[in-house]
Amino acid sequence: MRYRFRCLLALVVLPLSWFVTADALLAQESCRISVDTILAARNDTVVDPQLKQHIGELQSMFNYTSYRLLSSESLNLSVGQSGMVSLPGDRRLKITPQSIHGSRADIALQMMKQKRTVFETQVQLLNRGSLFVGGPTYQNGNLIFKISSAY
Amino acid sequence: MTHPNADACDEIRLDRYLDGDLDAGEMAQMAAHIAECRQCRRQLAALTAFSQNLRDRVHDAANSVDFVALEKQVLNKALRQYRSRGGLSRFIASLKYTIPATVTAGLLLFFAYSNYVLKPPPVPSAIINSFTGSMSSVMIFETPETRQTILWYTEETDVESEPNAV
Repeated sequence: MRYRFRCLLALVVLPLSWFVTADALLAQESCRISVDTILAARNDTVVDPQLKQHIGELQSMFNYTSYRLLSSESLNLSVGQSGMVSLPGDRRLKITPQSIHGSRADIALQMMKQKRTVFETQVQLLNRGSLFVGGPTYQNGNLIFKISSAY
Repeated sequence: MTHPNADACDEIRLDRYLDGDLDAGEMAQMAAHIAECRQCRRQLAALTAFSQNLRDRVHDAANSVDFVALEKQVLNKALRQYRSRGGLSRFIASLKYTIPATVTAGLLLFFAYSNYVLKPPPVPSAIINSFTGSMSSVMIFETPETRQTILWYTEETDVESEPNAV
């Protein structure tokens, strides 16, 4: 009877403890950052299939007609570790995760063009969320960088 | 003459005589003894009277009992015991496992539902804490539905080329 009670107790407690502690146990000190470079233009109406899921809402906000995925790069970075992503137009993006707490990661971004820093920013990026950084002209359109994190 | 044969004055044999348990020879022998022995006659008369009295009382007691009602009462009691043993107790025994299993399943469903099914209202995908740089303009906005954060900037050299992208 006592043994049976313990089994039942374990059945209740174990799933609960898993849900309670899973986040804490799985919280990692590193995150995966991916940077997708998209060229938005108006010269045609081509939208890369792999972008359709992500830019659906952007299409309603911008007056571009085509979205092409130029490159995609992923970095596995520990907290405090910096990674560099090469971007079109002699641009580079330096990414440094600074801390991870809860559902957001504090990330420092530094955009450079040639040897000049264009901007520096500190963002709190949602886990599995994205920040769209856009604006620079490239070829016949504008570049949009989709910066995503997952941990 | 009160004790013609002291060995024959056996109370146990007298009881058996009264009950008719002796064989024919013994019965005749005992009857002959009783005829001669006054003490045994008295004993026999007392035993006979006691037996008759006892039978009468049992008969009276039996007559006063309502056997139909008693039968119903016993039957109902037996049925109650049977039902409680086979029905309710079995149901309670099944609850012993069903309740904890139901509670566990409910908790699992609750946490699974709250963690994976129940979608919280969207929050901004990115919160920009600080922003510095050398550029002509910068806009920070978010999409209305999924609240995807967008940072749109114009580099100094791009001012004239694409001022009205949005």
